[in-house]
Amino acid sequence: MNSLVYLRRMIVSQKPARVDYTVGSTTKSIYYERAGFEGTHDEVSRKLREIFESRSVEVITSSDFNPMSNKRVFAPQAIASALAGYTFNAEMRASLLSFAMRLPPLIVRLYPMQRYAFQDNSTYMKMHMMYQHNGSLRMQSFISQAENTRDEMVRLRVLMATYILGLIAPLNSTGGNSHTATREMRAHNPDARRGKKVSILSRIINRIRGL
Amino acid sequence: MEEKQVVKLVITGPVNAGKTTMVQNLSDSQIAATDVAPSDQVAQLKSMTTVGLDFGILKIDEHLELHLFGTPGQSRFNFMWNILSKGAIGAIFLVDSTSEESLIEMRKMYDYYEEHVGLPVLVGATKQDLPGAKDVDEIAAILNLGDVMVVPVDAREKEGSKMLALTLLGNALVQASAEAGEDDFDDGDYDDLF
Amino acid sequence: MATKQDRINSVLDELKMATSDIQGAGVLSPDGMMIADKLGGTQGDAAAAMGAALASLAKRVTDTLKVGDFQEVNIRGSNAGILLFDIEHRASLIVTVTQGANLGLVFLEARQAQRQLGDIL
Repeated sequence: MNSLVYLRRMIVSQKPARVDYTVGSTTKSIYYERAGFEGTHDEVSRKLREIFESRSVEVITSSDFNPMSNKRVFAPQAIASALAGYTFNAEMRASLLSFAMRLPPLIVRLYPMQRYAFQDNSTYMKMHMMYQHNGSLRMQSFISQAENTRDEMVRLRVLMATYILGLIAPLNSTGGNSHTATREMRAHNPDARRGKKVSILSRIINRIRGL
Repeated sequence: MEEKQVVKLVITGPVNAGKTTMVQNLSDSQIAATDVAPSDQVAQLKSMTTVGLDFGILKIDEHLELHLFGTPGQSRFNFMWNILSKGAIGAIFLVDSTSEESLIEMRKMYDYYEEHVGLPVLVGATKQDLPGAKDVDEIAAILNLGDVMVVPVDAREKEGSKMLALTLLGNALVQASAEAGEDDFDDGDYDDLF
Repeated sequence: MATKQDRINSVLDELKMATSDIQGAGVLSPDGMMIADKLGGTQGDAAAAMGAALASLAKRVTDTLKVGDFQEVNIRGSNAGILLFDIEHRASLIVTVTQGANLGLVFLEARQAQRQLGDIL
């Protein structure tokens, strides 16, 4: 899920950038500046979907781009429309799931996504409620509480939107030391086996995707 | 010394559902074919397809191997689950969508599996393109397996094999994380995500 | 003219009578069904499925380790023994023998039965 990581970094940093990505054997690009993606509404959502599924994504940051048009789609708007009705195959699902399982306890920010016609807003609200109720959000629980396949897909879309737009962030962003300590503690904890199972499954998923 | 871990994935189903190919599709090396004369080869092929015990290995990384087992899909072979399910992550049941008999056998096998194994499971419905094939909803209704997903697939295609395996692994992942406790967050290896 | 089934049964009967070391015998198909059961127990169906799996595994092992065609499997329990012979890749002959059986004689008889069954099948 490198493409999500790059998109997030780019959007969070707010600097002008160009995303180069590969679809099949062709390389395409999209520009990003002033919190928006360049292009018409349809172009931008089509390109974002391609980026989600691309195996090779690169972000080039520079200030001297010469964009071809002055049409911009505001990032939350662009992500909301790229994700509207977005469905994905088993491979995409598996990699999103293994991505989700790696996320630490999170904070969830409230943002008026409904203004940008985010179709999965009610599930996003559910996610925020879960966060408020527990003081932190475990993405793992949020995803595994899905009622059915469709609901799981909606939840994964909410994961994508909130992650890319920076609406979720680690609860303890303060540092390496604390979690090294936790990791050592966990070595003596019989429950660690389950965490290990998650890691084993994620490794197998990555391997099979590459076949 | 770091010890090497082995986990298993079981693929089961009737003759010609594509078990052998699926095991091969997901394995590093094809199972060593022996040099035999053409006539013997036919005999060998036949005995392979009728008994259908297949085995393959997929190396995941330095410390992990996935062992793939293809087993016959009739309920009289249920005894094999006791052996195969140790250290398994789950099973894929292939059914022949055109054969009522194949569905009935699968149902019997599943009852045993659910009681004695209980690991994540997924049903791949093969031969969807043939006349007389039941669609996945019909199959799901006949099998009546509750939450178990029934996915249309051509398991002989590499992409189909990958899709089934990834769907099962995804389900297993969700289940494993649901079992994990609130304080059980593992790796700490997420610095590259934020 | 006797039916195929009769001829198979008579080969098995003859084998059982050849030496008292042989307790029972059966013929099973590669997909784990009993073709003829003279094992004298109630475990016929399970024996057929397990025997077929065993034969298949033995075949895989002989192929993988390149020791030629699979011919037989010999299992020894503390009370009795089980032998499994390949019949031209189309079936297997399963024979149960007493503890301390004269295996030389048993093998001789079983190989003859193996040949005869190969002709019939």
